Amino acid sequence: MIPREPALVVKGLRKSFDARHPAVDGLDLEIPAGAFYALLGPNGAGKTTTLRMVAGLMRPDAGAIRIHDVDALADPRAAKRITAWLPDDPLLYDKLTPIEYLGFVAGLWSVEPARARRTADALLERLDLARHRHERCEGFSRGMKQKVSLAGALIHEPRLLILDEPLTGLDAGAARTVKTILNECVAEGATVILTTHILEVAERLASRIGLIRQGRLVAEGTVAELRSIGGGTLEDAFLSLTGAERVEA
Amino acid sequence: MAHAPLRPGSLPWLLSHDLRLAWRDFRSGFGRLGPRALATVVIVVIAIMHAAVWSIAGEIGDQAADPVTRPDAYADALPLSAFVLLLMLAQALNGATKLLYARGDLDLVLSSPVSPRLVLAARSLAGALGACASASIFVLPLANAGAAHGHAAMLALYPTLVAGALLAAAGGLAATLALFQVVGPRRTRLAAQVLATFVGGGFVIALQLRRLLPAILPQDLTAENGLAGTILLLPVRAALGEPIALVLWCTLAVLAFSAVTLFFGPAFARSANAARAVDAGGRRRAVVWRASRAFGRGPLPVLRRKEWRLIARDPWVVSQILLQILYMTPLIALLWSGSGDPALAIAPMIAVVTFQVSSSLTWLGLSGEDAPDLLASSPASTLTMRRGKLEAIAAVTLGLVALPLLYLAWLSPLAALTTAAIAATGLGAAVALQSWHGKPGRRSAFAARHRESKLMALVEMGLSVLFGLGAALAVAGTFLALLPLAVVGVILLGLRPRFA
Repeated sequence: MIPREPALVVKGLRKSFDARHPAVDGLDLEIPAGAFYALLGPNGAGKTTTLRMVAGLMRPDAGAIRIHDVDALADPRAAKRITAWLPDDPLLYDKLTPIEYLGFVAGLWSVEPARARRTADALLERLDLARHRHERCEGFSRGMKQKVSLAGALIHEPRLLILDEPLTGLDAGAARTVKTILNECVAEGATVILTTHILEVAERLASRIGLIRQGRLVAEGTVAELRSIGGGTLEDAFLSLTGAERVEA
Repeated sequence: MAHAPLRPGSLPWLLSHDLRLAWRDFRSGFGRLGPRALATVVIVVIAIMHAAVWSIAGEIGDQAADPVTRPDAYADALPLSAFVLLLMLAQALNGATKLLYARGDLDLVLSSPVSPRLVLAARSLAGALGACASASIFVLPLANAGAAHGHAAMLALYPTLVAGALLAAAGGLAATLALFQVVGPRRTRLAAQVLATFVGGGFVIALQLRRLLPAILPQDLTAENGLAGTILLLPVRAALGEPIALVLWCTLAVLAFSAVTLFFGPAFARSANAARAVDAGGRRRAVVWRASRAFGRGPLPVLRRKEWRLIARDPWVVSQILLQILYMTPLIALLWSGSGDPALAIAPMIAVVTFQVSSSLTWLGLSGEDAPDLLASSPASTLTMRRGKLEAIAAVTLGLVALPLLYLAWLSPLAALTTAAIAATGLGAAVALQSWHGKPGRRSAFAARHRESKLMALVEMGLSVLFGLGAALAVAGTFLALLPLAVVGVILLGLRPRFA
C-alpha cells in the first residue's frame, strides 16, 4: 500500500564547494510516494550532489530533507534504514561473492538473517545471477557487477531507492532487467528517484520528471506537461529549459 | 642549445615516457614538499649515508688495495652484494608482475604499432633504473667514500650496480614469464609475489641456513675456487674495480637483458593479453560455506567477516605480512644467540610484528575501503563500523603472535604480560596514526601505500624499532624500557591532528 506522506521533501537545499558557484542553490523538491521520478539536467547541474545529500553521504550547507516524514538531517540513521543508494560505479568488493556481498549488506541494514537469505536467493534468481552466487565478483562484467550492486540496494526492501546513472555501461539485456526491476519496485509501493543522461529512459520510465539547472529546479511535471512547455519533444524541453542548447550553440 | 626531440616510438622515447611517469609517482610520495625542500632532504640523506659508511668504505678499500688482505675485502663485500642483488631481484619480480597485471596504459601501448619488444625493453629498463636508484642510496656512498679515501677503483661500484639492476630486471622478467607458462596466468600473480617475498628474504634465509645447517652451505664462500666461487665473487670483484671482472659482469648483464627483451617480447605481449583475460572474464569460485555463514545478525559480525575474507583473499596483503615476519628473523636470531635468552628475542619480535602488521591492516580497514559510499549510506553508525573493522584487525594480529606469546608466557608470565601490554600499545598507535593521517584509497593500492606518503613510511619504521627496543629492555628488566616508549609518545603527540 502506498503511504500518504511524500517520499521525499527537500526545502531550500544548498551546497557549495566554492564561494562563487554553489552546486545546489536553494533547491525545493517534493516527490510523492510510489513515484518513478527522473531528475534531469546538464553536466554539473547539481543532480549527483543533490542525490548524495538525500542519501546521507554529504551534509548540506542549508535546507531540510525529509524522507517519509523522517528528518534526514536530524536522524540520518532512521532515514538510511528506509533508503538505498546506487551510484553508476557499483559499490562492490571484488574479492567477495554475490551471496557474501548480499550477506554483508543485509548485516549493515540489520536484516534478520533468515529473511535476508530468502530475499537474496530471490534477487539472485531474478537478476540471473544464481549460478554465479559463489564466484568472486572480480571476474564479472560491468553489467553483472551493477546487477549485484542493485541486489544489494534491494536486500533491505527500501521505501526510497536513489539511483545515479544506474544504466551506465549496461548492455541492452542488463538494462532491460534493471528497468523491469525498478518498475516492479514502484508497483510494490517503493519510490524510485534516478538521474540519467538518456532522455528516452526518463521518457519511458518516469511518472514525473524534474529539470535542474545550476542547482535549481527549473521545471517539473509529467512527460506530457514538459513536452508542452518545450513545444515538441522532451529533448526540446530539456534543451530550452536547461539552457544546454545555448551552451552547445 | 635546444635538445633534439626523441623519435616517437623509439626506445629512448618510450623510456622517457616511463621515467617521467615513475618520477611523478615518486614525487607525489612527498606531498607538497617543494623542490628546494626535497633537494635538502635528499642532500641530508646522502650526507648521512656517506657518514655512516665512511670508515667501512676506507677499511674495504685498504683491504682491497693489498693482495694479501684482498680476500678479506671479498668477505666483507660479499654479503652486501648478495643483499643488494636479491633485493633488486625481488623488486624486479614485483615490477614484472605489476607490468602484466596492474597494466596502467599497457593496453594503449600494445594496441599501437610499436613493437612489443621495444615496449618490454623500455618498461624493463625503467624498472631496472628504479631498482638501481633505490639501491644507490645505500651502495653508492660506499663508492664515493672509498674514492675519497684514495681508492678510486671503488668507483667501479657505479657500473657494477647498473649492471646488477639490468641482470635483476632480466631475471625477474624471465622468471615471471616462465611462471606464466608453468602455473598459468591465474596463479602467476600470487606465485610471483610469494617468490619475490622469499627472494627478498633470501639473504636472511641463507644466513639462517648457514647457522642451522653448516654442512649445506660452505662457511667461507670467498675461499671457494670452483665455478660457484668464481660466479659468486664476480660482482664483488667487479665492484672492487678488477677490470676483467667488471667487463665480464657488465657484458653478462647487457647480454642477459638484451636476450630476455628480444626473446620474450612476443611472449610478453601474449602474456599481457592473457593476464587481461583473467581480469576481464576469469571467474574464481570462492570456498562454498554453508549459506548461513554469509548472513549475520547486525553490522558487527558481518563487518568482521568481510574484513577477514578480504584479507585472506588478497595475495598482496598475505605476501606483505609474510615478508614483515620473515624480515624479523635476523633480529630474533641475533638476540637469541647473543643473549642466550629466548625471551629477549621473542618479546621484541612480538612487539614489532604486532605494530607492523596492525599498521598494514589498519590501512586496509580504515583507509583502503572499496565501497565507502555503501558503508556511509547504511544506517550502521561510524563507531560500529570502526569497531567491527578494528576487532577483525586485532584478531588477525593476535592470531599471528598468539603462539610466540604463549611460549613467552611459558618462559616468563611477567615478560609475556609486559610484552602484551607493549604490543597492545603498538596496536593503539597504529590505529591512531591511521585514523589521523590515513589517506583513503582502494584496497588494490595496499602495496603502494607507502609511495603515497614517504613520511608515514619513515614514522612507521621508526616506531616499530622503538616498540621492539622497548619490549627487549622491558624483558631485560630495566626501567630504561620506558625511554623508547616515551619517545613513541612524543612522536604520536607531535603527529596528532591540530583542531582549530
